[in-house]
Amino acid sequence: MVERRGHALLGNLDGHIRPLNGPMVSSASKYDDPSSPNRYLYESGLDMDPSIDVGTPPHLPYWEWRQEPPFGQRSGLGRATGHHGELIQGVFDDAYGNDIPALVTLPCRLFASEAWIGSISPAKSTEVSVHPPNKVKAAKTLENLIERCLTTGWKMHLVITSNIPVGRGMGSSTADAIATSKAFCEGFGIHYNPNIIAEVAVASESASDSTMYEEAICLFAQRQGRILEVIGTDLPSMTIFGFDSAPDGPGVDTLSLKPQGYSESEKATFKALRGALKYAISQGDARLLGRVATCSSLVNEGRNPTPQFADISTIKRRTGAVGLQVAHSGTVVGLMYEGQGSQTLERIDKAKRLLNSIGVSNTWKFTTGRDMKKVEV
Amino acid sequence: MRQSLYTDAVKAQYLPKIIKLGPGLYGAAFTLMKTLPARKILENAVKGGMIGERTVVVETTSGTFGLGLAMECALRNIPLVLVSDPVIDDRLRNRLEDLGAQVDIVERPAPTGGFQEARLKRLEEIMDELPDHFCPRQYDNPDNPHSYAEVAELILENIGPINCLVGPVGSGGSMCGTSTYIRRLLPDMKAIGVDTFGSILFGLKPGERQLRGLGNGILPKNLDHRVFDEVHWVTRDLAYRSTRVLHQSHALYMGPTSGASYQVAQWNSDQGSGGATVALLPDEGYRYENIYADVRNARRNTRKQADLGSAPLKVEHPYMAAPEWSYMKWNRRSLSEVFN
Repeated sequence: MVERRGHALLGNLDGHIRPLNGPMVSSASKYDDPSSPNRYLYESGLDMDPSIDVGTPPHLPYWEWRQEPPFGQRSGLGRATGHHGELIQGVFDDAYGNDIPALVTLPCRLFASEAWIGSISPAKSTEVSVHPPNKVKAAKTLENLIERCLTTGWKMHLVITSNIPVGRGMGSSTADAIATSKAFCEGFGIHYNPNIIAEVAVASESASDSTMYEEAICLFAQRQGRILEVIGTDLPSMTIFGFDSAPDGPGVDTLSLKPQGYSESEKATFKALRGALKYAISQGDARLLGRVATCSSLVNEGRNPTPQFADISTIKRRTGAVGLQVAHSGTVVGLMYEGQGSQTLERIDKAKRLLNSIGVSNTWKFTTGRDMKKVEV
Repeated sequence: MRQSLYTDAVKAQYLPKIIKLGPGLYGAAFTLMKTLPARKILENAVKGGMIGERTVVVETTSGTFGLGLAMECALRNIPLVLVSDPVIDDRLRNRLEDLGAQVDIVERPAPTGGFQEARLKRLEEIMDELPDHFCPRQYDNPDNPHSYAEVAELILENIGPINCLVGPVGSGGSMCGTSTYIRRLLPDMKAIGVDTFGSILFGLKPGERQLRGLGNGILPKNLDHRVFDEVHWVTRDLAYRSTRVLHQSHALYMGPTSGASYQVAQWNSDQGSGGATVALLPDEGYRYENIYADVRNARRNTRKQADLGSAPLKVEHPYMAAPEWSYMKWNRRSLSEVFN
């Protein structure tokens, strides 16, 4: 029998270990054999239920894995995209009629964070070093994960690379946290569970967006770290023309924003928005989705006003955009255009000229939805 | 929020079912529409501390709002006093009393203002007797229109960008609330109010209302005239006939206000403006069996008659509305704008 030393690694985040590529280990006798290639698993304190397939850690070639890798060679790599503000943000009722602050994030693949975790070794107390040193929130997330998933202390080094602008409401800190979590999961062979990542992200940042749920559009309670409702899987086919409405401004410290009180009339408005949002996403109706986003950004004007909002609204009207979406805790703005064809691109060119005239020069565009046509970049 | 396990019976029934009634025509069929404002008003009153342990809820009503209140109060174990007049039918009264409400009937109309005035006076007396009371005031309470945001949500979720909303107007809550919140997204949506002769809501002279359940003898604060693009006045006979058509053709067993709403929505849909028309159908037909209890060949007759009386008279001003089905373009004006 295997000698149980307690779960140095509680095995998993959600009760499952994802079988990775590599030979399957299923018999207990292999653990008992000191010459077994799996011996390092319990020698190192990574004692697991032998009935669960472990597989080869993906970052190690098979021949290296057979030879008891030292901890210095364990590492994990994770990548997470940022977002482009929200399609909608407000308070929505859950199944019990409680008002819950929630949002629907607009994911944006132009911006991403990557995390690498290396130099992993067991230690008496957990010690995380991070580069660049200002990525404190990511380091805190990693400490949270270690505390949550591993019993002993660990020493490791975290490196974050990101092109997501900070303080613009584009989810830079959440993307860092998700990339870190993914790297952690990879390094320890743990199944990546977005629910737990959401909880950890909220615990280390007090509010989070929903980019950890990569395959669903969901109404996400950003302060509780849970999904209120899964709205659908795909956005309508759109091209989003994005820019920063205050590129020279100081940005917004997301954590300093207080939870918002909404009036009865605003709460009622959010109910209508929620219904329309569900229709727009299930039917691929970009126009209605645009109206939902515009309405949500109008409500937001009373709380976190977007610089030059009136001018941007005029440009939206003049270029035939279906909607205007904003980062409700930031300064990034997106003009939403239906479709991805040449007519759309002409409209965006016009919008670009008009934006130039009000002093916004740094712009970008990206598409949403399944209707993947050739995009002129 | 769509769900299939409900915390209570009111929650299980307060949202309508959206039913397709023809090409581009939908009905939002409620079991009992007034449960929606009743719940919202009492919920917010409890949250806001206006209803405590010993508070008695008092209200004047002879219609379905009283039933909505009685259901909600029974669930919450709140004592309820309802002031009504002899118009109230015995079945409704029995049901209210079974739900634990105390029904106070005013015997005689006031010299001026009729039963409405007499009921209000009696209500004042009761409120003086009971220092710890709460009066929901469905005509003035802004929670009434707010509660209909859920209907806007349901319509938008299921039908999407609709073109026109039709519904009977009594307190103004359902039409003003639903239209306002749908228009946050669809500002061009057309709102058509259905009123009846004898009701002063849209500028007609006060009088006896033959068709009950819509219209009003007083002007509620919750009625915002600027919501409406078009106003129709329907007769009792027309409403009864189309209520039966609704049953005969669509197997929808609804009350007479639903018939009135359906008739106007069907007409509007036939005008061919395109897009979807939604009719609010406020309650089921079980309280109004007298409409259905008719001669043997009523089925053939109602169909024929409904075909005959299927076009309204267009008028330019409320004072021109003849005592037959009439309509005017209200164009989102206030009452004083229409009259000056």
